[in-house]
Amino acid sequence: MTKLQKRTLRISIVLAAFLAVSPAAGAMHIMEGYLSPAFCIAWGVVCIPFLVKGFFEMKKVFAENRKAVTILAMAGAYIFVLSALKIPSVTGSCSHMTGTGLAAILFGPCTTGVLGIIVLIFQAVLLAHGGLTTLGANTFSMAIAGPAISYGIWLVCRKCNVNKRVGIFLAAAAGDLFTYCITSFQLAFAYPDPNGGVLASAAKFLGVFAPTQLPLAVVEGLLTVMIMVALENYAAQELKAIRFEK
Amino acid sequence: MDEVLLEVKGLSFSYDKKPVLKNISLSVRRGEKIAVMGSNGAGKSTFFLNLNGVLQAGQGEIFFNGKRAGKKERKGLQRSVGFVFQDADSQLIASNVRAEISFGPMNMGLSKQEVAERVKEAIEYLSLSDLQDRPPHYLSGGEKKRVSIADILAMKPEIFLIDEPMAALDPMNAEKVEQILYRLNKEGKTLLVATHDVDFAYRFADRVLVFSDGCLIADGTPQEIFNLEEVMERAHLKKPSVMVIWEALIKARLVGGEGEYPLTSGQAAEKILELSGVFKE
Amino acid sequence: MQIDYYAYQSRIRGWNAAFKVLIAVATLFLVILFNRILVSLFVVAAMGALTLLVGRTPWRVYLRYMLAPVVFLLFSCLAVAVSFSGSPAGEWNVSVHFFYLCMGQESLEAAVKLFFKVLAGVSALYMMSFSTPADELVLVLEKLHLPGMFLELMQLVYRYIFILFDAASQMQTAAKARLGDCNIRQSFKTFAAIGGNLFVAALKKGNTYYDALLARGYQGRLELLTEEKPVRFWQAALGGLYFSIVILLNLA
Repeated sequence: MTKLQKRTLRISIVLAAFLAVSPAAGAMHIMEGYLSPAFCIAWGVVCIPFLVKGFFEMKKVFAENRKAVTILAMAGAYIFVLSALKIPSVTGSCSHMTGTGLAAILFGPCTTGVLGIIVLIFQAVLLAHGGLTTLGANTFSMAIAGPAISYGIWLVCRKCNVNKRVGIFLAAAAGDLFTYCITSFQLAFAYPDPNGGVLASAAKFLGVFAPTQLPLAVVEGLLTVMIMVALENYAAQELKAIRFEK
Repeated sequence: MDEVLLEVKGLSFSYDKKPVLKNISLSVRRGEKIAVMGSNGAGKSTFFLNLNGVLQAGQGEIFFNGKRAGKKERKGLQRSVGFVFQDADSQLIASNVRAEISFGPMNMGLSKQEVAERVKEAIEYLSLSDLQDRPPHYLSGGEKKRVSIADILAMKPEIFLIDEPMAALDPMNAEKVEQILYRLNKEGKTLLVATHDVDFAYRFADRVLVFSDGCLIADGTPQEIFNLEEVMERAHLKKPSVMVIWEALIKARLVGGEGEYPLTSGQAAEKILELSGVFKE
Repeated sequence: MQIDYYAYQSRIRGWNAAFKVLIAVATLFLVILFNRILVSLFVVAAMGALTLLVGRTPWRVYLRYMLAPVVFLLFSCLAVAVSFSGSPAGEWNVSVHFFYLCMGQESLEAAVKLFFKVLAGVSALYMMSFSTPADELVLVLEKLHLPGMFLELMQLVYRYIFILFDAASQMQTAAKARLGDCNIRQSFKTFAAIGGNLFVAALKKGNTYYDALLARGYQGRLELLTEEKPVRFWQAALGGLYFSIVILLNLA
């Protein structure tokens, strides 16, 4: 090895160690300024049909029940606050839930999409998580794709009579993992590997964020189960009342 | 003073078939200060929501200024009967004080100029000028309370329904709010104040309504009401401390039983000093 | 929620909100379109100066927020700079037995560009969010003719976020006071219980709040008195100068 190679290796080892104890682990918001204009617009356009569908569903609910406006606003605020609360941790690192799985199970995927984009706007503006130009990409991965998978898995588990808690765990954890995969691919599309193209690049992004995102998905799944159990204890009736989508 | 402003006849209301208000009848005259008392869940808040038109009674009728207030006139009812909620946070929706106060007047369909005028008046009335650009979430409890009163004031209703105005306020802020209530009444507004504070009700109100289990079980002057032991027990109320002490003094023949009872500890002290011949210098 | 707090204190809060949003968004667009280190550095400096010197946002707070995304940024830049290959294809290569970690001049450059581009984007976003309270942003969106229901929902969500934050922090304190965080297992239980409780509280509040809206004559539209803050000539001129420099730097 040349001197330079040695140095590079050393740097990568340090970085890898750094990575293993990465202090901040939240949902994978793509940062402001990360994507080129074409991708910003493209991801935004991809979201539109889903958001429009969610919007019309909401409108229908509103027409039937005006009270839904404050309930839905509360639901949005709830997702925001839940995702801003610090998850307890042993190492003192600071991580957060995404709340997407919980929202999908509670409100259904379409409503979650519309609430999700509102939450993401406020996360960008109030917490500096994510950004305006990356809003489209983040909305797609976190408010549309993730919740859709969560909701799908949850439905399938219920149909197949899988234990309720297992179903919720799988739904929430898979939603998180799916969001993480989508985000990695979004990053890879924007910065394909010069040698291996998009796939190789996606593999790199998946690898780089795996140490934070994999445990987080498990934690998200566990917490979602625990919160759902708590909710069923305190609020079985309210839960029935908020099923907006049939 | 004797003009009947609001009349309620046989009002009943149920939440999901659970009766909350049972056959309430009463009339409110212009300029009255009424304390509405009763234990938690006795139906006070539901009663207020009905008077304000948010809830529509299952049975019974409400007349305002002699006119029946049905579904169609609900909007009119909200103009004339304002409701200040107990928890100011539940009422504040806008992100700065000026916009917040404008919400009611805007809904009344007034011109922007008129709205701005009313907002300015309300801000001055409650001395909120320093806070007018601030968002409600950086206001203190007392400030929020004042904003929530300004909210309603700007709608210029004739009757104010105020739910537990002093709850969760420190004594100084409670005192401020109490002064505001006196001032509103002096300017001709009719006040219905729900409260658990018997001492406040005793010194403030010229009439007390007692609710228990959805029924109006007593209606009279504070002196009458606080002497009805059965009513007090049913409604989980206690006699105001000034009254307890004054009655003991009468019983011990330390003061005479004639004349009006003092309303506050200050008034009582003054009377005692007067009687014992010690005069203020 | 510090950003919101400092936004109300900012000395450039009085500037027209739409104007600030326009500057931020146009800057973002130009920065990612040009993708040049020089442009990015200038934007970081200019936006930083506007936020810190004119807006008087405390620099400690600003710095902490600028550093917050750095970890994510370093990793993603690393992923862009380094690639895997069966042969030593880059200018710098490290053999890891089965394959090589390679880094080429080009990919390194791309990563550095990316790094500064993101910093510039973040600084433009912060200029906006550290000086413009969210309710004013919603009003700007209103001018873009987004559906009313959506905006109304946004306004309410913004207000409710603070109410729920208060409720959550009270629950957390109450839980701590009863040793709800004595060990990791208990902490998780507490977290979930708070999550559940908060949801119930939110729904209950949602119901009362709707009554409170109705009590003030709400008919399905959240109409409020708003103030117009005109754009001053010197502000527009400054904006023009700034964008000219950005464009000139790109040509340089």
